[in-house]
Amino acid sequence: MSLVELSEVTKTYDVSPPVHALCGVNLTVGEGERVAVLGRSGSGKSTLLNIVGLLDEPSSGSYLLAGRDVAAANDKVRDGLRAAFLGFVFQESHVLGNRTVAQNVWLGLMASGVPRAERGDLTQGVLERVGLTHRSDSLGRLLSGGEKQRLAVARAVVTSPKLLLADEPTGNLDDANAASILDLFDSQSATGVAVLVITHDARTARWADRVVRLVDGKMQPVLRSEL
Amino acid sequence: MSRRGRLVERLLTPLADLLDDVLVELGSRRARAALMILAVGLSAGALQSSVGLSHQASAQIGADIAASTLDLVSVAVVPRPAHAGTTTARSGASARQILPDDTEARLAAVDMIADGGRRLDVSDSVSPVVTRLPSDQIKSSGNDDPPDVVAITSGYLRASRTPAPSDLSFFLDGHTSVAFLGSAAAEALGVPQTADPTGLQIWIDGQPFDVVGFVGSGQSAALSNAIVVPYAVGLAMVPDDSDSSVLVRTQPGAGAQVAKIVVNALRPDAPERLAVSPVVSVSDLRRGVSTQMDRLAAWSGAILMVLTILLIANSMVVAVMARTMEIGLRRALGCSRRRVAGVFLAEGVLVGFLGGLVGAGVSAVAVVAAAALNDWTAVLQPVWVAMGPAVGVMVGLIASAYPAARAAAISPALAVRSE
Ligand SMILES: Nc1ncnc2c1ncn2[C@@H]1O[C@H](COP(=O)(O)OP(=O)(O)OP(=O)(O)O)[C@@H](O)[C@H]1O
Ligand SMILES: [Mg+2]
Repeated sequence: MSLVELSEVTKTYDVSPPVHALCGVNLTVGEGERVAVLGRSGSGKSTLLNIVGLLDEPSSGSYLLAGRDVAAANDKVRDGLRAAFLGFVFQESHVLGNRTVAQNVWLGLMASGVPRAERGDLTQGVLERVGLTHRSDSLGRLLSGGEKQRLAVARAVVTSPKLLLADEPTGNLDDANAASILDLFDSQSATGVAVLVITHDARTARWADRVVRLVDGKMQPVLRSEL
Repeated sequence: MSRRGRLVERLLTPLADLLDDVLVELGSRRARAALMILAVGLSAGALQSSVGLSHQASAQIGADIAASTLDLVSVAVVPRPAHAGTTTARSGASARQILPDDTEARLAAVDMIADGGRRLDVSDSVSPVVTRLPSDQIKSSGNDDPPDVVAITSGYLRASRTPAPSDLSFFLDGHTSVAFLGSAAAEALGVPQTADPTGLQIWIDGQPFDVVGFVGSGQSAALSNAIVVPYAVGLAMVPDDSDSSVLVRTQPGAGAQVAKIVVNALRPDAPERLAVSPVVSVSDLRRGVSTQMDRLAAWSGAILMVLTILLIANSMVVAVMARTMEIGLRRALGCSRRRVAGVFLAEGVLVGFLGGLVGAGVSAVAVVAAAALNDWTAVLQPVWVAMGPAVGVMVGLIASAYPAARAAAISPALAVRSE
């Protein structure tokens, strides 16, 4: 059983004129699988990620997450699944600048209902893995771009999700920082976490087990040799 | 962990998280938090202190008005000190008598006095037996409150504005054994209250008294349960006049001045034997003033409250927009709409609570300061300390309701796209 199974998913934004962001997308992601999504700007990559991440609903088509039909699930089910199954890393990292590094991580633990007594150890452990222990009490806005992105990864993985969704996590980073993010993803997928990553970056695409391309809202396979 | 422990944790964790969350937020934007707390504090304090001050001021003004409209003065005989020697029998008063026989004439000689007269509650010092027939004990007709024998002069009747047959009140200034009955006393004795009581008699300590009339309830003297007899007759029943008093009705507003001179008019030789006290009555005017002032204070306070609510609501709506990305992030991490709304509601409640505490302090200082400046007695109610935060929490809840609803309504898919 695949973790994610999208079939014939469409998404139309109800503006005038309507925007057909996704037109019949089929996509499966297996447990522990690393999938990269390529595509030009405006091809619907973030729209796809929002639907897979249960932040948005498809206009039509079916979506099974861990075997469960979630295409039209209610808010409560979606909130619960996001907290239990999913971890997000956004393009701008979305680190809260007015909170410390530790408090940013704490936000993810709080949302997942992790008991308060366990949060301290979990936070320390994850900051150690991303190499931010020494910055644990710094304000988020003082971090460098690479540190912010590592913090975003820490916040996403601290709750042990089954699926990591990343929207151009290395887009703004230099080679060394990009490599360290991919290393973090690697250590996640080694423990069975699936990773769905949107990227422009050939190196990230080569890192993935499977690469697909969105063209005008439709999915096309990409051959290794093209990269 | 035990099942109960787990339940407690399930209930408390979200609350503790919310509090942590808000404290971190307020702590990271201290200036904004301080301004909001100050705004609530000032308006809650202004409401409280204006209500408190107006209460105090109106009480004070009421007292002033009462003093200026005061027209009743009472003069009481000061009990003789134990060691005192003889009092000289001057001014027409005998040794056992402090109030002179010509009290009414002396009062009449004072310009500002309209009416005045003596009263002696005979039943307070001796217990005369009042009966309908010479041999009877008093018939108890349901109440065991026997009629009081009260001796007064006609001047007292007029000063107290007691309704009575005025053409017969001269009896009270004489020595004849006559009696006027109060309505309750008449009923207790079984005396019919007819227009012409000729021939009706009652007995006091075996002495016959002709009933000459009935007295109603006076404005400032309760005579309903009284057997009213002439002052001189009553005085003969008691050892001395130490239970006597004088009631004086002055020209309107002259009460205060009369109080200063009335003793000297009565006993210039022994003023220390008499004590003067004003008879204060609560007037409708006074009550009108205090409710009007309270209403004014409450209105201006309420307007301040509404302004504060708008101010805080506005600040929080701006904050919601500025925190759109954060709201999207929270939703992505798994927070529900309710939890997102809770962040803003809790912030409003906490700001309101702290502001209310500040307000209680502000109002306490204001009331004490105003009292000190005006030489009033400061009236600080302990309930204020609780009222301030309560009002503040209400303000915070109302102010944050709309921002919280807006935050909850933000679409997470859109929110994560913002920076
Ligand atoms: N909420 C929305 N309302 C209307 N149109 C939208 C909305 N969100 C996205 N779109 C449109 O849908 C299309 C797909 O957008 P999307 O953000 O998914 O593209 P993308 O592949 O992520 O692009 P990029 O690489 O630049 O991030 C775009 O044309 C965009 O303008
Ligand atoms: Mg995008």
